[in-house]
Amino acid sequence: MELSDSQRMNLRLTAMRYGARDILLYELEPLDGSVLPPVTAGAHLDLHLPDGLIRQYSLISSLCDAQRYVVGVKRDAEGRGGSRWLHDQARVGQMLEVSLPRNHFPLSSAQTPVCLIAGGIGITPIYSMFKALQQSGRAVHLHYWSRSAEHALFHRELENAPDVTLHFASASGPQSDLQAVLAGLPGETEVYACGPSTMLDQLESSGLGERLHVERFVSAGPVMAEGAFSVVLARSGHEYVIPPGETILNVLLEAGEDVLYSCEQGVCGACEVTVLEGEPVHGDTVYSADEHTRRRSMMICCSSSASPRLLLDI
Amino acid sequence: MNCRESINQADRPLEEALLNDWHVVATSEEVVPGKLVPTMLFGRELVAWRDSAGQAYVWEDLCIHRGARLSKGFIQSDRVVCPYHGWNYDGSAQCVLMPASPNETPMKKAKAIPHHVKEAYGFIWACMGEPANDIPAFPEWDDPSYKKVVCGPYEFKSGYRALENFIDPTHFPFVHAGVNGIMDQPDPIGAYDVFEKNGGLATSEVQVTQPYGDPREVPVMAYYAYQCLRPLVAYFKKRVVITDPERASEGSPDDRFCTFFTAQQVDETRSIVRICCAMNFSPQPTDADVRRRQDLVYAQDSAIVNTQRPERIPVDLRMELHHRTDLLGQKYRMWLRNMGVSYGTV
Repeated sequence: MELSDSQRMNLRLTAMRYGARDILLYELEPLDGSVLPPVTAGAHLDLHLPDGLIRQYSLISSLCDAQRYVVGVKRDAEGRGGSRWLHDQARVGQMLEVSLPRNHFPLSSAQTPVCLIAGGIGITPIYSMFKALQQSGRAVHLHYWSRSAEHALFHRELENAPDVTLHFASASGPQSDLQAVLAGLPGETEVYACGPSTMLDQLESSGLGERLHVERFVSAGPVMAEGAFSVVLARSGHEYVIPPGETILNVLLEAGEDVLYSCEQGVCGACEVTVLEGEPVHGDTVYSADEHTRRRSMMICCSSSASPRLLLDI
Repeated sequence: MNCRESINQADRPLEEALLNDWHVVATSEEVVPGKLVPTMLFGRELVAWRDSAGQAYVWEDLCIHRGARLSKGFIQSDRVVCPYHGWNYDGSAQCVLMPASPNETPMKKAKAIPHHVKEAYGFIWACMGEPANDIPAFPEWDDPSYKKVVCGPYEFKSGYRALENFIDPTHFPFVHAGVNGIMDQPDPIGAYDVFEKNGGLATSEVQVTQPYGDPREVPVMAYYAYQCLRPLVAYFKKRVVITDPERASEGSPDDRFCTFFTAQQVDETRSIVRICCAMNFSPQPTDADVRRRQDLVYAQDSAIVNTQRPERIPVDLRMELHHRTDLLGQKYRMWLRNMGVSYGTV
């Protein structure tokens, strides 16, 4: 039976393995021995988690076959709850609904050399690419930044492998090394990168042009706070409680407040507001957290609060 | 209440942000001595003319006597002659002759309704209220190392949508395929910064690939820095680097191409775009080369921009859908809204 793009499959979580510090590998198998659609390096799928959370995770294609999908998930304590649920609540034997694999980050069919750049959990699609390129005989070098050897997924396999450079980021981050790596690339090299947005921003402004391919971790939904918090509109003094599972934007719209917004998923920037007091937790892909701190702003469609109260310049 | 005030109050009064600003109503070339040129700005019918000394004038296209159109008349001895009863108005807008009573000094109130006029950058600018600002700066105009070419007029429905299109680097591969971009290889547009500058908006550089990048017809990597100067005036300065190694010697690291963009919002859904390009290449392309390329690009733009609905630009970001790659367009719409611009917007 052909599965359409919107169809979902029920898969059983058959194994959870330790990958690296805060990273677990999850194996998913069909219930009835049916054949899974094939996956290519760079592909991801949606996991439908309880509470209606939908999260995208990259498939580790070299470990996937017709009977098994494998994804790597890093526990993000500051995240939106998907990875915390998978690390803290998920149990082997559970069934999970998944989408069909999709690949928005495919390797080109060119034969030019490839430079792979991974930062943190960005290794999952990049490792898949590394294995695929090695198999096809295309020249490839992998640069992988992680906090330490303990944090590096597949560390044992990669530490002595040819064509791999492991970087352990200092607190100041990988910036200087990254520039050095780029500076040494032959002119026709294609670059594939996945990692934190600051790293990808830096790559995108480095003049690689069409030779650069990146995958960003796109916000699949708003960041939700653990508990309720309150939002005070400085100009009117109006105060609203934002319950768990609600966005600031929705609460304000339902109350009839006149606020600007457009995409409702943190990719446009229309709902940016100035934060006068409080600690926002940012869920958008328009600006990095550092950039938001500099701008003293947040996007109210998809961000929440680490403090019990936010004072917004509305 | 005098005539000017009553006209400014007629119908829906024009908001001060537009009333007290300078707007292009013609290119300098379009207004030759001895010719009455009818034009329209925000629904107001105007007439532009030039006397034998070269001074330009922009008046209401209206004779105070019986409301006839002055532009249907003619110019004689540097006077505008009304086509209806032949009243003669001189450059001060005063009526100096009523032919039906030729020996009488016309009434003091017998005046045409003149507007503030300036000529700059090859354009005639008018302000129908009291100017709140000077005409925006165009630094390359006075720089002799830059060749300047005025291009247009180009017809658009909305001057604001045309301006937003002018400051949008993401449509190049599709609307200008093979000229300003490559359809099969659209440039991803990375994060760029939008900041306030002299009361307007400005961006950091945005990098795009242009296979036919400028009038020299060479492939270039272009780095655009945009500015929104006034509600209907914008500007970019782009750094161009020739990417064809065979022709790289034709370029220099100092190569720049600038465009000063103006739109005359004729009425709610009609506008006229006129631009002035400035470039410091050596050797310089001919005027015809520059115009041929701009005519092509603006024809491609208007073919698409004039299909946008609503025809009036929405200034509320809750209308239409935005993305971070449209950041300058978003900020432009917010800027218009915050200035209180409502004419030609929804």
